[in-house]
Amino acid sequence: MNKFFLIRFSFLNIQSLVNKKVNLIINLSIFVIIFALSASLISIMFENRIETLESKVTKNEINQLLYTKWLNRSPKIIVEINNIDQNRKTLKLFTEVVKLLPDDDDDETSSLYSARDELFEYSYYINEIVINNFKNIDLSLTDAILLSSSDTDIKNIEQEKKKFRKLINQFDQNRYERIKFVDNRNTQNWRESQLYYKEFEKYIQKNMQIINEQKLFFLNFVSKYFSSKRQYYTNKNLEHLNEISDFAKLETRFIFFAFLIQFFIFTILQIFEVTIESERKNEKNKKTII
Amino acid sequence: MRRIKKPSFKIIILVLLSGIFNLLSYSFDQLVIQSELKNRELERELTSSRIDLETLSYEISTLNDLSNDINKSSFYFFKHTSINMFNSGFFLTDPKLQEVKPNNIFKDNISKKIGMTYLENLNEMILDFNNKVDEIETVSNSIFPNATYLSPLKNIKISEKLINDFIPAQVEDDTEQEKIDQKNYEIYSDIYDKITKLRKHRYVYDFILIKAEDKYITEFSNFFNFVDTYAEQQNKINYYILLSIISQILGILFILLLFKNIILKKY
Repeated sequence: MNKFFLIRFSFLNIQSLVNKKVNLIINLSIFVIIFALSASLISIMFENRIETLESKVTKNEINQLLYTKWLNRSPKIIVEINNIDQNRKTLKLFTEVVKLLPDDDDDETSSLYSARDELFEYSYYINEIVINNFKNIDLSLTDAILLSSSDTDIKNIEQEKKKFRKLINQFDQNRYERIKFVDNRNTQNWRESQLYYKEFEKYIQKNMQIINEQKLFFLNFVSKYFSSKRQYYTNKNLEHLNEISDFAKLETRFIFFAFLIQFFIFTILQIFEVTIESERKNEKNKKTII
Repeated sequence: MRRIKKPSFKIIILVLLSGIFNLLSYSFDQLVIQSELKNRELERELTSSRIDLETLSYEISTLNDLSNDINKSSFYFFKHTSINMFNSGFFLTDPKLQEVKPNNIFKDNISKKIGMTYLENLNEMILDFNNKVDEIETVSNSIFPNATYLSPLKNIKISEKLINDFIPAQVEDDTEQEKIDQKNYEIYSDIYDKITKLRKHRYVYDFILIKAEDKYITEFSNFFNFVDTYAEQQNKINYYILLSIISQILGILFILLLFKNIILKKY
């Protein structure tokens, strides 16, 4: 009987040892699971923040399209305006001599280089240049609004819009005066018509003043504004990218920290469980002996 | 007869929970797959919207340049037609027939040379004009085929034979002179009309430009909204992945708790 009891006792001991190990493995697995849960929660929290920053970077990248366009376009427009002025001056270099050739009786007019050829067509050409520049100004102001990022920007754009409207008014007034002048044409002979065409110089000069104002707009506003916006959005993107890498580092640290805390809790729980278990077993053994 | 032990309520609950979470994990996995498909589509749309915006921006610049180029060219042709036609006639006319003789300061052969240069310039100008029309048509056809469809440029070309009838000199006979002047004026008017037509052709580009500008602003704001939608979709995928992982983990956790329970009960 005693032999049987001993065999059964030793068998129970082996089983309890196996159960103990299984229990430890299960506990360890539960610990790993809880760690995985917390790690994925931390990851998702950071990933969402990173995603928000990435969408901001994408938006800023599309802004690049706008400021690059105007930073490339405004010098081109300025050069074109300068060319208009320079070409006219170059043309005048020799035309003054040609106009004074004895091609007719009058020194005021010239058959070889008539006032119509010199001023009438040119006034319409300049008119179209002004209109084209207005279109570009309007486009650049629309893009400036799209890129604005502060109240100062809006106020700045508003001021430029006021100047823009003022220029349009000046242009309209000049055009109205020219139309009135054309409607009231009363020329009887070639000489009178030449003198009539000469009056177009006045409208050309007014439009040239507007063109110079337009040039100043591209020089002082467009170039500076879009350059500052390039700086702003490049810095913003750098900031966002740094923030993204900071978040990635913080995420790793957070997960590691969470692991340490959980491992600490797990160890304490295991110690408690082992102590309670051994105490319970001791009490059970005592009861069996009694 | 041996009595079968009934499973406890706790064990049943653990089995149920484990099953439910495994099913949830599978469902979230499916949602992730479907969302990824949608996301790929959105990604393609995002890239194409970006390319569209860039293309539109270039188109606006090209339209502006084309319109400006036509303005410059038409001014050039107007000026050259008038000066070359008038001055060739002026210098090629016999000095004796002219009321005022600029040829007093030029020798006869020099005067003819200047006249011929103006005539050559006139011929060249017509070639330049036709080349310019071809050039605008080629550029326009490649980028804005509708522009040339609405207002065909082929009809604008000046016939090179037209200049053959141009007589750049005055004659003694007044009746003959009147006929020559009439013919010359017809030629001048024809060329002038063609240049005016070219000048007016820029209004087609101006019209397309206004439309393109409106489209540009709309597409720009649409792109910003689209980026938000894309980010939202990306976040949704992240949540689905997280929920799938959590469900999987919870499923395993309940299985482990079930094992632990069974072992503890046996022990």
